[in-house]
Amino acid sequence: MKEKLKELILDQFEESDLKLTDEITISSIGGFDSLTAFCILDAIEDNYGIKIESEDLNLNINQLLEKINE
Amino acid sequence: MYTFRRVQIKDIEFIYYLRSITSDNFLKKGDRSLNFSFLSNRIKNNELNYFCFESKTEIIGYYRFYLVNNIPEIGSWITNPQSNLFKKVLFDLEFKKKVFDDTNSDKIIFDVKIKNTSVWKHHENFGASRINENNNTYYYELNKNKFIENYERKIKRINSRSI
Repeated sequence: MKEKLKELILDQFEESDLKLTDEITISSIGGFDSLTAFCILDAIEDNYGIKIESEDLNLNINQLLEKINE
Repeated sequence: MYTFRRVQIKDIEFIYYLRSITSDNFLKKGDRSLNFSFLSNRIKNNELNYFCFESKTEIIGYYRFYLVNNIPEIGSWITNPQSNLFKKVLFDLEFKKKVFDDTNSDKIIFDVKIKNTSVWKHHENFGASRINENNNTYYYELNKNKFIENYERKIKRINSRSI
């Protein structure tokens, strides 16, 4: 599930060689902006049926996964 | 409640300001006085399909379209950095809907600089198809049926949030 979440987030960025660690804060990834944020929120809702808030993108991958699984 | 109105002369300075402060380096702000005279002349002559999206308390942004061989080409999308992300996306969706309704066209075309990744990713997520590219630019077509497929669902999703 974690790898799927990472893939979903990586899809919104250009760099194909970008690697996400479990500790990286999503909003700190280079190129992140408000449109990226919307696309990630939208993709999470599409894939998990869960609505998260834009502030949740200040979490890291592990924390976001916990939030989705709550 | 958000509505569209045509750009007026009073908007020109604000548009210039938004272009000056945007982190998007792909929208050129140009020369201030040339910009003013270009836009004001076309506003006076009613030659522009250039629109402001706003509420009673806030301007969300500006967007325009031209007709190229009777096909609407949209562009110059710029938003107020103080508006939240959901309002920006709502603006883009409602503007595309307006262009389809106003022109009765079955497609919209536009281009995005390749380096402007979040913008073209956004458009692709909303159903735009890349039809051409060169070294700097991707060219897109948005089919009306494809757009309408997504529109209601996305609007409902945005409206479910406190914007």
